[in-house]
Order: sequence, then structure tokens, then C-alpha cells
Amino acid sequence: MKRLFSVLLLTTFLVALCAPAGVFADQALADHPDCYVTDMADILSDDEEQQLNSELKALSDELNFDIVVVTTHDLEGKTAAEYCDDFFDYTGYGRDDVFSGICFLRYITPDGSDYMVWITTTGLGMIYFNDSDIDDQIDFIADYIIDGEYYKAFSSFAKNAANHVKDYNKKNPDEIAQYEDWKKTNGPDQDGFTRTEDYLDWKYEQQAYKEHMRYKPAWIVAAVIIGFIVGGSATASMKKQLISVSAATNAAGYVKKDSFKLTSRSDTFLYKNVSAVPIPQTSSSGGGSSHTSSHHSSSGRSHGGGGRRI
Amino acid sequence: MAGLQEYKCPCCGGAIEFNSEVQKMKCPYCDTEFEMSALEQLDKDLSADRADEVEWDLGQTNEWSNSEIEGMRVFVCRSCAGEIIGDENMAATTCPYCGNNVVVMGNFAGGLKPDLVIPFKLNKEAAVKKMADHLTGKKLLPKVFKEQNHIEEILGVYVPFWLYSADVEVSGRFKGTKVRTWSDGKFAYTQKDHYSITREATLSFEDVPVDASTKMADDLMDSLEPYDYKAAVPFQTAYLAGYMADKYDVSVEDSKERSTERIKSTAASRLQGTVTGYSTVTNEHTNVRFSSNGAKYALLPAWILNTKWNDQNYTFAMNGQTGKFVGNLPMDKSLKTKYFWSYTGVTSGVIVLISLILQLLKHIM
Repeated sequence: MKRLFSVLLLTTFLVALCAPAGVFADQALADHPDCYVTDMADILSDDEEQQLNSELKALSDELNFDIVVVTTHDLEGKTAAEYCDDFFDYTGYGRDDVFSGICFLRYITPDGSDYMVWITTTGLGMIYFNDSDIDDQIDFIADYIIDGEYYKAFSSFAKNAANHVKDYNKKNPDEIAQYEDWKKTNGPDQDGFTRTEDYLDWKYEQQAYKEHMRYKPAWIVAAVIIGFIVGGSATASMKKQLISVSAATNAAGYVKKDSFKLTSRSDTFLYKNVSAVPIPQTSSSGGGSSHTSSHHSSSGRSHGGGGRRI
Repeated sequence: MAGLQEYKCPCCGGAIEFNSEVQKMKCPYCDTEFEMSALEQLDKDLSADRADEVEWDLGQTNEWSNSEIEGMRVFVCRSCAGEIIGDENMAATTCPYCGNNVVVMGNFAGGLKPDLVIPFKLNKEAAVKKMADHLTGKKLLPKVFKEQNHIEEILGVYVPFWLYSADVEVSGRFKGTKVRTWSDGKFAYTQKDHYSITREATLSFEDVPVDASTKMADDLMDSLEPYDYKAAVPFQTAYLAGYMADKYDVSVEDSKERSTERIKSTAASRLQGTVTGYSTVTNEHTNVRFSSNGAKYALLPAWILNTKWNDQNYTFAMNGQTGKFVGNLPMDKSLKTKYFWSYTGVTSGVIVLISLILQLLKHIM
């Protein structure tokens, strides 16, 4: 009984702690909160919220990378992107000096007439998640969202995102050090913001330059193939020089001059076939981009992100 | 039910019927629709198909007169049994076909007298020079072939040919398609219009030559073409002086197949050449009919050169009128391999070198 009471007390405390988030936009940037789930749309049960919060906190602490979920039924006149950015910035999320983290927004009106999901990335989040990664993150959980299984959706999102970060660090062990180096020479801009997108631009440029400078093995493959073609056709033409005897199969040289006369002709249309092949549509959502598109939020910080109307 | 006409679908072959909804003939199997008039025309086209009529009228009346054959001798090859005709003064010792010795058999008798002869225009020296030219510039020719091959004898031979002429009617039925493509953004459309096409034409062939000697390889003689018939003159035995003449041993009847095939092939391709404006054309049926036709017996001049190398016979021939020189040459396989790898290696090497230079420039710039 005592235990139940303490759980209830903790829940009340947490809900109270997260409650002011709704008015975050008017506030200055706050200190880092201890709460990772803000369910203003009230689509999670208290138990789910508490469970999810502890999962998100554990993952965020482990990675030193905030994984945050927010739900709302009112975007307060902002776009989903602006709302999600502002929530993340003004509530005080973001680890380290570049406020690294990822924030998942579920917006749905009480009557279900309007809805949206949005993912905002900040700091290292912009490095970890490019546009197509964000798209993938939404893909993984889209079915849960559509079915209204929000706890499963958010919990999966957190695990998937955390795994993605771990994988990324494993695959790119030098990236963070490289980023730190870059920051040393390209520190915060005149407004005091570290522009991760500039780092990404620099990195893409470096990659493109490296790719440009790399010797392409295709040259050797092409050289060998062209070599064989030249060798083959040269010897074939040499071989042809030796052959000058062949049987005649036509009498084209013996047609009496001007003797050919067309005496009758007819061209009758019989029928037609029409076939239609769908033209593959290039998706305009930019899905699959290996770049991170970025923007500035009202707080002035840089964010990456992407979303979908589901 | 007299007058009931049954049509087959030109698209799938099924029986088609009149569809009252679309007021057209429609195939119940493939749903293709047809105008009645188109089917009637197709039916007419199909029923117009005929078989080839390629009968030759090959009456020959030209016989030798006794005075003409008086001075002629027949030589027989001991090895290949080839019969060669020459005048009584000819001192032929070698068979033009196999290079072996020949013997005089006796007086010439029988056979047909040639209608035409194209006299030799080029002499033996020209043939020797052409042979030397023939061997130069051939990269894969074994080097020793030039040195070791000895032209044992170069013989001027009048080769017997049958020259076939025919006036030809040719008719053909074709299937043609015209393809149109367009797109509305969502779909790429391809429309294929199918046509039944018929053509009829007349044309004449003059003096299609067919080698009338079994001793002469047909393809070797074909390769000597063309001869300029403008220089042909009525045959006289005087033209044989100093040369040999082969007596025809393939009759005009037996040779006609080859000329018929050649004429049919050209008539059909000329006819198909008039089917234009289509994306694809398929020949469904062609028939050729000869109206007036006939054949002449002609002697055409050729220099024949035989040589042996590595126990193999190589026969070369030169058109005695135009100087066209033909004859297949042996190939040095090791030379071919050498050339192949050196061309391949050099080309590949140059490309790799260029790529390395470009790479270097990237780093310098």
C-alpha cells in the first residue's frame, strides 16, 4: 500500500513537472528537466507514461543523448516542426554544449480531425539522423501510430533511435572527435549558436572531395574491357583481310537498269494495340536523402527534422 | 448458309464475329476490333498468294561447225580428270585446277558452242603482279607463305558460264506495324497499328552468271564477279589461241537452281524495299514468276594460280577482264594471338596511363 502510494506520488510529481511545458514558448530556455514524456494530448495511460519515461531516461542517460516524446492536441498556431523545435529548446532538453537529442511529436486533435507526427533533431542528432533516417524511424512505427498503440509506438521509437545512435557511433568511431575538432576552429557563430549544419556541409564537402580524389577502379575495368574490344576487332579485321572468296546469294548487280516497276500496292489498316506502362514517380518528399536538411528554430538553435501526416 | 464468310482474327487466329454494340467485327478471344472493310481486304490479300512459277525456257541451238572444231584439242588431267580445250598449238602441261600434268587426248568433239566470249584483257604479268599485291598488307598471313609458296604455273582459262536472263513478276504480302508513343505524365502509352501490305512489281535480270564447270569452285568464280558484258563478243575459236578453255560439265538445266535463287532473293528484297514508313515489316509471303527468260553460254576469262603450302592447295583467281583478284589465304594463329594480346595490352595500358595522369593532375591542381 505504501508502495502504491509512493508510485502515485511520483506520478503526480512527474505530471506536475511536465505540465508547464505547454506554455514553454514564452519562457526563457529552462534547465534540463528530468521528465522525457509530455503527454498533453493524454493518449497514454499513467502507467504507460511512467514506464515510457523511465525507458527514455535510461536510454538518454546511457547515450548522453536526449530521446524525448511529446504529444499535444494543439499546435498553438505553429507548424508541427516549429512546435517540436520550441518544445525541445524551451523545455531545456539537449545534452552537451550543442544540445544533442531527438524529439518525437505526436499531434492529434481530440476529435481526430487533424494529426501529424514530427521528429526534430538537435546537435549530434542532426549528425546521427539524416533525412532518410528520420523517414525510416517514422516508417518503423507508423503502423502503431495509425492503430493508436502509442505506448508501443513511442517505446519502439526510443529503442530504434537509440540503436541507430549506437550503430552510427560504431560505424563512424571518429565522427564525434572530428566534430569536436571542427568546433574548435568553427566555434559558435556571432549569436552564440554552434551550427551543426555547417559541420555537415563541411563533412559532405570533405566526403565529396575524397570521392573526387579517389582513384576509381572502374578505370581499370573499363581499360581491360575496351582493350579486349580493340584487340578483338583489330584481329577480326586482320582475319577478314585473308578472306576474299564467298558465294554470291543475290543478283543485285544484274537488274536491268530502270526495269523495276511497282505495278500494284495496297496498305490496309487492320487493328491497333495500345499498351500503358506506369511511369515511376519520383517522390517529392525527399525521402532517401543522405543529407540532413536543417532550419533554425525560434530560439535560434539549429535543428534537423522530418514528419508525416499519419 | 451460302455466302456466310468466316473470318479469322489476324491478331490471335481465333474466329471473329460481328459485335452489334461496337458495330464492328470483334475477336471474342483477344477483344481486338476490326473494320469490316479491312478484313475483306485482308481476305483478298491472303487469297492472292500464289506459288512461284520459275520455269526456264532453255532451248539451245548453237552447235559447233566442223570447221570450227578442227583445230581444237582436248586435254585431260591425269589427276582430276578435268577436260580442257585448247587450240592445236597450245602447249599446256599443267592442269589449271589441280596443278598436275595434263595429256593431250585428241580432237575435240561434241558439246555446245559458246554464244559469247569476253576476251582476255590482262596478261600473265598482270596476274603475277596482282598476286604479289594480294599477299602484301595482310598482317596475319604467315611470313613463310610469301617466301615458300611457288606459283607453279599461271594459266589463262576461259571459264564456262551460263548467263541467265529473265523478266520477273514479283508479288509479296507483308505485315507492318507503325508505333506511336506518348505519355500523360502517369502512363507511357505505346500504340501499335497493324497493317496488311501487298506489293507487286516487275523487273528484269540480265545475264546472271553461273559457273558451269564442276572443276571451278562456285564461290571462287562468284567472287570474280562482276564482268563487264559490254566487252562480250560473239564466240570465235580464234579467241582460244594461247589460252585454255574449260568445257562446261554442268548443264544449263542443272545450273538454273543457283540463278533462280539469286534472282528470287534480289526480286524479293527490291520489292520489300518499297514497303516504307513502317516501324517493323515482316514478309509473310513472296512469289516470283518468270515471264520471258533464257540462258546464254559464255566463256569468261580468268587467270588461275595454284600453289601448295604445308601440303595444302591454295587456288587464286583473277578476273581476266577487270583484274579483280581473289583467293583465301592461310592464317598464322600464333601471329593472331600475338596481335590480339598486344592490341589489348597497349589499349588497356594507354587508358590506365591516361587515368593515372588525370589522377595526378587532380592532385597537382
